[in-house]
Amino acid sequence: MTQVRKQDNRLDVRISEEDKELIETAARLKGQKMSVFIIENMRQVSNKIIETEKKISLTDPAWDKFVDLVTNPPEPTTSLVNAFGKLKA
Amino acid sequence: MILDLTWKSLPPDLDRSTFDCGIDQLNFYFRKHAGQNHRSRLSVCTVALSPNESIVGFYTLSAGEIARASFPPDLIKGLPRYPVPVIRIGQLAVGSKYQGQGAGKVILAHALRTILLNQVYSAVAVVVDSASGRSTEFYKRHGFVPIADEKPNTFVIAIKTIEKAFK
Repeated sequence: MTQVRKQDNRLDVRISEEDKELIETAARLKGQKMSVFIIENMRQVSNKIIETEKKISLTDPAWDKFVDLVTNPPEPTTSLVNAFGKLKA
Repeated sequence: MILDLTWKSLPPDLDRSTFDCGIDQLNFYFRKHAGQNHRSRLSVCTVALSPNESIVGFYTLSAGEIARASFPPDLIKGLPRYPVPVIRIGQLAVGSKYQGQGAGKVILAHALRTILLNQVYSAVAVVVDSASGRSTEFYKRHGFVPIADEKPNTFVIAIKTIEKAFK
């Protein structure tokens, strides 16, 4: 990701010496400045989290399968029926 | 049933620091993040407690949506324009010492009943991410199917299938 973004905000975090050294080592191995390394990786992780938490994007075949599932809902499995039975018991 | 469970919306004073379900990722989430997400309503956490108030397990629910990656203009088979709303079971776990007693299925049933009885947020399906091979078998047994070949750990079940099971 080499998008140019205006970077005029600051983020101050306290960090232990061990964690800082760890991150520095990893950034050095990647040949990146620590700030770039942190931003890129945190952006990736954050997007991944938001993505998995909220929106699921499906390819056309998977979407068609999903539409079929909700328009022609299969019969529940015995295990599911039994699970509700246990809950009511 | 062996287990006599009570259900609570995550109490702020509940000690979660020693909860262990055997999966680090889930333990970490429950101990460190569940409270904050619950307070901010990002995801809502329900705990199952034993008669002596120890944590048997928990689940989290949040709103989600499923969209088609491409966007053809027409409506399809009576469904509204995408994305369509779903409920996500973000995490569901049973503490190690309660595993193998059927707690998992009761917690799943409670989560699904909560979703069915929810009168506020519409949803056509329930989606869950499986954290292990064992939980994959668990969800499959209860009628969840893989949502897509390229997402092997994400499973889905139609709300109408759940309704039929609940009747």
